[in-house]
Amino acid sequence: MDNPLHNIDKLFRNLLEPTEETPSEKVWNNINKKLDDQKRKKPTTAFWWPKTTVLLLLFIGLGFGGYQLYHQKKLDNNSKNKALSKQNNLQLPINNDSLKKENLNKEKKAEINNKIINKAEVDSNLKDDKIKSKNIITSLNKKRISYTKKEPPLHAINKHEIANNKIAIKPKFDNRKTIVATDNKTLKLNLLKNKKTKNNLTNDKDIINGKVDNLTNNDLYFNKMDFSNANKTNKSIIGIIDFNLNPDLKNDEQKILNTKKADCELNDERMLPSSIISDLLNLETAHVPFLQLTNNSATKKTAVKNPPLISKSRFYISAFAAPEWQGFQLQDNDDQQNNGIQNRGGDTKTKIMHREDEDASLVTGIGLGYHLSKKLSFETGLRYSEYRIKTDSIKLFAAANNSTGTIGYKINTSLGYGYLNNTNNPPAMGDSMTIQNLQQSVTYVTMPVLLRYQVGKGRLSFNPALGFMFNFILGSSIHTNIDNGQRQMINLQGLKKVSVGMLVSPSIYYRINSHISFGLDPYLNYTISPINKATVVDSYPYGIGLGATVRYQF
Amino acid sequence: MICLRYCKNKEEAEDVLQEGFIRAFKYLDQYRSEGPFEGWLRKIMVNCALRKYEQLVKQQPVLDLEGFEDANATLPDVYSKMGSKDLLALVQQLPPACRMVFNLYVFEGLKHREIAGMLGISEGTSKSNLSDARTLLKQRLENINPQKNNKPAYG
Repeated sequence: MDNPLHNIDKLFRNLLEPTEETPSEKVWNNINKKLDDQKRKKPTTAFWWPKTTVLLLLFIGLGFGGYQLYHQKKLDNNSKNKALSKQNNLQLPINNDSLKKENLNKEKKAEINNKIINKAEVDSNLKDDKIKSKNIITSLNKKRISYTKKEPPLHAINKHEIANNKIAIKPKFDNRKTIVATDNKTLKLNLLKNKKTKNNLTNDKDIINGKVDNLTNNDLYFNKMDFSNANKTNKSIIGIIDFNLNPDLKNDEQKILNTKKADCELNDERMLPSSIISDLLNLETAHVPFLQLTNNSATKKTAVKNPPLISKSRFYISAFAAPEWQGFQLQDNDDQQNNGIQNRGGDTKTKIMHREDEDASLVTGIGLGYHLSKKLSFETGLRYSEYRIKTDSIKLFAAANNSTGTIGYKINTSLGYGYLNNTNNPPAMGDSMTIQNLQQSVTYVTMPVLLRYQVGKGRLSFNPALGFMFNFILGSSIHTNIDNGQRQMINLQGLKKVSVGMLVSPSIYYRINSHISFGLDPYLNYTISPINKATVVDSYPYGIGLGATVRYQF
Repeated sequence: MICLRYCKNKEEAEDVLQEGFIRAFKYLDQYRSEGPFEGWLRKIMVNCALRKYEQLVKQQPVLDLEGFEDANATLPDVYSKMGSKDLLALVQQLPPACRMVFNLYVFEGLKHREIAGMLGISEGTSKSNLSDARTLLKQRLENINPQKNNKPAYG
């Protein structure tokens, strides 16, 4: 019997499925209008873009401002030094009675100095500062200092002399160098020679001048180093360091210079590290590049356009800002029943992912770094981030809130869960309701622990970093509208207080000077431990960000 | 037609259609071209219809069979010209809960477990609603079909 009523499903399916009905014109007009409205609204939703742009501009502005200040300070120092260098025969204001006796021997000492340094030649070389400055013998430090705790051997002492504001450096370097001031001031420069090299140790006793250890760190203005013609005038002298004494120095402010003992080992005996000189003379390292000292006239002596910008401190701080796009890798919790997780709505990772939209967030932070070696550094810091997730519409089912003992509409999200307590119409078990415009927000403080490796020695370098990050939750909430349009905040539960992730960042840094660098920090982070517990889904957030960093090295 | 089946009248169906198209445009970038676009659009329309139904449920409790009983008086004459429009009218006049389950089961091919998850009801309720829908439709068809009942619908 072929009665269609026997298979009513088939009857309706066959007859209704292929049928089409044309909607009225009004529908299409309404769709057009609503789509136009949405397009107009779009710019307001991307509110974080202007904020990010402003922040980036602020960083750039601060960076350039800092650089300008630094540059101005540098120019001021240079002009001051030039003015001082014109003064002849600078006098040290020494009133100390104990030094008076030694002052009597000044002339004698000066004579000795003249013999040693060939003063006439040296002075003639230093007459014109501008010409001299072009011939500054500097060389990029192609070899790095390795630190050692070894004490230098005491037997190998060689001397360098100061005569009329000039420091002469002997060509034969050995284990220990001492820069001696003619005016009874002594600067000790102790260097360890490389074990691999052998030196003919010399004992040029006639070079020795008197020494006094009373010299403050601010006594000297370092003008320049000039070795351009020194080797021609005196084979034993390969360079002159020109300096001026600080006229503002007061006697009562004189302090004993803390002599820096040998704390560095040179890979090349001829390399005089600027860090040592600058350390002793209290100079900014940027002004004193590494010197290659040699008495070989065939050695190329050219001014270095871009001296290595190496700061003597190993520490640096940084400020960081980045827009971040976050997503979640979700895993269904297969053990919901045993864990007492109520999921009447049958929420799964697919359903939750489908209904949620993550907003981009702005991550800001500060960092602290320490150079473990020239290339490798350790970094940590604190980063603040706030993530927002929107849900258009969600159907909720009443469930018992074990923490309060009440019944509320349970919200399951990718972050956790919450209970909506509709005070106007308290729910009973089995009730359900649909809410619109649900927004979750969670704020984190993240502590990255990174190792960063520097590739490239110049101003521009590639600095990939890899490490862990520890996320500490600060707060979390859900906001939504209930029936009467009232905004209600719901406590978001189920989030762990701490989660661990991995962070990789192929950064590029541009060094403005020895202290300030700018960095472009693209990064990817991935949380390796779930951020929630006792929830319908386990969440593993990941984020992709593009950061801007300003770094200041002490 | 999809929207019409899930709604009680044309106005409501047009609302759903409108909402469906707007959502389709909004999430067009999420369409991954893995399946036919028609199927994707159909899913959106069905979801919008479900939302509409949820709103309806929120506003007023589901009336079960009452709505259908009342609709008997206005039932069009399907006896002489049984066609898709008449069948559609029968579906539209089903109680909302029964209409949703019937549509999802018959036209979308979903199982009771899936329907229960989507509508927030138990599987038993889903089965019961489907059974009610079938019974009601059968009754209506039998009432208006003289060949089956051997009696004219009118006169």
